[in-house]
Amino acid sequence: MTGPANPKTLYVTKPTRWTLFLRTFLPWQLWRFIRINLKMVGIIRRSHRSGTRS
Amino acid sequence: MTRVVVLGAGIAGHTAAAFARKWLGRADTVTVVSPKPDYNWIPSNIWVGVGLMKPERVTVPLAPVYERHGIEFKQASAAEIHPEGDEHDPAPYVSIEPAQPSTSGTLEKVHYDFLINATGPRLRFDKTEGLGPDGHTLSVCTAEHAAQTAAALDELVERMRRGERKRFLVGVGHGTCTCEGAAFEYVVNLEFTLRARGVRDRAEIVYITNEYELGDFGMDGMHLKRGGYITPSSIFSESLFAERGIDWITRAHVQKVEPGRAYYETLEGEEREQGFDFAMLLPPFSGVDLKAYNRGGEDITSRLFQPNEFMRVDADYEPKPYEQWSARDWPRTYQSPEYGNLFAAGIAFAPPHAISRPRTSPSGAPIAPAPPRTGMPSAMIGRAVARSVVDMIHGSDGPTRTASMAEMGAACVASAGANPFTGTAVSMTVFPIVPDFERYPEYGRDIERTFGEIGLAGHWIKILLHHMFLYKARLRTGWNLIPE
Repeated sequence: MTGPANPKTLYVTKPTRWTLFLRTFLPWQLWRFIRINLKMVGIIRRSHRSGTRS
Repeated sequence: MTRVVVLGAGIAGHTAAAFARKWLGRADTVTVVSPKPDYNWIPSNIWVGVGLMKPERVTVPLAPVYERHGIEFKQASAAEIHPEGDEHDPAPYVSIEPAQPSTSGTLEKVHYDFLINATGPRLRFDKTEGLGPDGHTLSVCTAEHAAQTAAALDELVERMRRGERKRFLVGVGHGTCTCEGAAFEYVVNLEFTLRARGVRDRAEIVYITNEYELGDFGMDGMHLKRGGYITPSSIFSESLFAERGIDWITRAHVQKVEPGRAYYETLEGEEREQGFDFAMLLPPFSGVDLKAYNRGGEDITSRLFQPNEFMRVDADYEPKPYEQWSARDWPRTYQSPEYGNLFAAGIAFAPPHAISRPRTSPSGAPIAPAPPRTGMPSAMIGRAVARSVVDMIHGSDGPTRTASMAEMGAACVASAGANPFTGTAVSMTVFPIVPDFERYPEYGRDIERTFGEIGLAGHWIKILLHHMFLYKARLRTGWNLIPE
């Protein structure tokens, strides 16, 4: 029996084919583009709000 | 007339200078002192380092931008701060060494009413024998370094196309390095590029890091809510490497590099070595070796700066064990405790301590990442400091704005392969950057606002940020509407 080239990878979480497909599936990624941007804008706004007058 | 002098034209310095100029009256002056003629959008150096971009696409010449906006630009290195002036001249000033070869060695005085030290890091390749472009490894810390790295990669790819197998070593070149995120980004981009060039099957790629676990990034890692679990970032980072066939070495302190071979010590105390044909190892950072003198000419550098040459600000520098570290240790206004008209911004300020748990090997070598202070937090600190300085000029008693890394979040996009249809990037947000276990007892961060995801959308965001921030750096119309 032969093992994997790097035995470390046996103990690591790996993405399924579906997950890999979604990573570059255009309709899904367009939606994620909007969603991630909104999340980031939220973080930026919250961070700017925290820098109020000392 | 008030004189504001900014040392450094990186992300923090350039932001501070631009906002100070915008908010101050024309009678007041803003002067920027920087040894380099260009602004460098450093996050995109990764793409220069794999040959996707030329250095000109990640840099902006500063002189025309500053001329257009009425900011005085001196291409020079700051050498000394005289916060009380000297015996003959009571006005505070900095001594600078102009970059022009004809004037090299002569110091020029630049007087200030407010000084913002945003000098960034000194790249300490000298801390590891044989490290750096003058030694046996490559770097992407500057656009020039990245271009050299791309040229070395091109040469190796040509040899691989002729059938040779090559080993790539990427990571950090010392136990106390920071910027693991950049090394991480470079290694996954390198892997993507080798695949795109059709030679991936002839490449062995090894990542070496001082992190205790992958995904620490100098922030003690983070926890992400995904798939019904709250999962540490190490799981995602290892997955990304395993999926791409990248091997990794953690908890390593590179001690010495010889041609084709790196020698390192592990946290467990083992001495090991790793061969390579190509090595991109980032250096540790320190401050830029600024000296400070009082009115009598006495050296007061140790009052203004920490031993690592970063500037002391309103942080709690009392040494304490990891268990007693607090979000409150971190600075809020970045004002020097010694001189009220002196501030530090970006990498130039001395953090009170690391964010990741400190660890040392049996031989006493520290093997743990230093805290990152780049990108979004640097720009936000630069803006907050500029606002405080302007308000103080207009009559406020003290700093009016805060930008604590323990109160702000960060949005970060790490490229994992650049292609508009097949590329991906890891999009991450953390809130706050420095964990606050009093507010968020379980993980130190707000789990609803800390997330990570890999996909093509991240790559599009990375491209968008590249163009947006270079537009902002050119101070074109509406630049101030683009958030930091």
